[in-house]
Amino acid sequence: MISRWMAYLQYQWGASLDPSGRVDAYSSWSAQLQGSERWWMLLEGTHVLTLMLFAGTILFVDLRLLGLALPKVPISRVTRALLPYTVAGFALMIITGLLVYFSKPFDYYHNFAFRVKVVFLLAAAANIFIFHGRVQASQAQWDANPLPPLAARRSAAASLLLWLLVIAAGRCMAYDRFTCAEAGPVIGALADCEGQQATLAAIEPEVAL
Amino acid sequence: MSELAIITFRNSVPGAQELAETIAHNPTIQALNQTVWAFSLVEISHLLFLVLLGGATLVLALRTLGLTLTEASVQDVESLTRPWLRVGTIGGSASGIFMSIATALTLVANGAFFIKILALAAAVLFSFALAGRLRGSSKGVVQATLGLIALAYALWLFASTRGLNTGAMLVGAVSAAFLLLAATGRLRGQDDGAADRLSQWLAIGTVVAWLTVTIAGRWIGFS
Repeated sequence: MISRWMAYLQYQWGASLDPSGRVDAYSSWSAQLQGSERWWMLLEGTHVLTLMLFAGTILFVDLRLLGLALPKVPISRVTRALLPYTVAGFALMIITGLLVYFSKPFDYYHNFAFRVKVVFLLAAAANIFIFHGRVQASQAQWDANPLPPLAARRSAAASLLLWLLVIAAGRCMAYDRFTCAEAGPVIGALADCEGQQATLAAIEPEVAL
Repeated sequence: MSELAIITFRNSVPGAQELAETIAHNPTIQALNQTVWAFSLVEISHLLFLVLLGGATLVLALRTLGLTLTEASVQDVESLTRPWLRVGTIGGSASGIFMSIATALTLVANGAFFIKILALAAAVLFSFALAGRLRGSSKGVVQATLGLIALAYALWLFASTRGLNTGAMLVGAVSAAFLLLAATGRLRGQDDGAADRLSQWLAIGTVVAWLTVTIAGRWIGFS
């Protein structure tokens, strides 16, 4: 079902019909974004830069939580100073990331590295909720401590590791061996490449690919 | 602006093409090129080192301009970011050299690569000058001037080279946003305890130079 929706987004949404009455997949909005060389380059370049703004600033927040940076400055002051930049970076990263995804939603949905990236993103989000819900509840007691409690340090370490894995998985999306075109049996099964073929066969009568 | 023919190492540095051919035909390098996982690992590391470098540069620049972490002194923030800047610069350069060796013949004829190396020289000069001044040195004018010349030339090439000028647009837009942020901070009077005027300009130069390095690097893949 999701595969079919993604195929619609990539090949059919906004597309015109060719002379034979079939959908011209190359005219879809998704294909136009991918083909608009200048916009595409600006979008991808901005996505990489927002990564640096987001991950580069969260690094120092996490280092303070680990007790490895600015031990004399209360944690609340460090987060208040840096988090606006982290949040701005995150918002831009999500917006540009969604637009990059929209350029090839069907291909990315069946990309093993993308699926791994989503898992790590969800884990990173869960870590943030756990930190805010449980760990931060008692922050007033250890805010000025050079070395925060173990739960806070554990959460900061998990944050660093998970964002590192998100970036690494994102980079792997560009490698052919994680796409259905070159995937081996295990990666092919995890990326549901059979499902991809089934979707392509199902839309073939109405879409000129 | 009229567009230039692409300036690369091949057409501007004597012997660069021969050197690239020697590297490319070396059996060890050829074996390296066949080792797909090793190359991927280095590419991923290169991106992670860039993130480290970008974060450390940005945090130090923002503090130098009085725009963040004003509870800590500029010296403390310089000490905090110094190891990460070093790890990012050394790791980014080492992984970059590995990638350059493996793709020497392509890069020697690539205009974005030439711009990236020019901007890298500027970024390193600015970063050293800024760190030195924040640690109490009154020097840095020579490094700042050389950095400015290298960066200006890199940006001029970026803006006027066919097929690459979209990258220059991105550098311009992000640099303008950063300058606006710096100016807004000054208007709000948030720069109490910030560094001297030259250090502040060096901080801005450092951010623009590393931005150019990153964006030119991405444009190597596009061109």
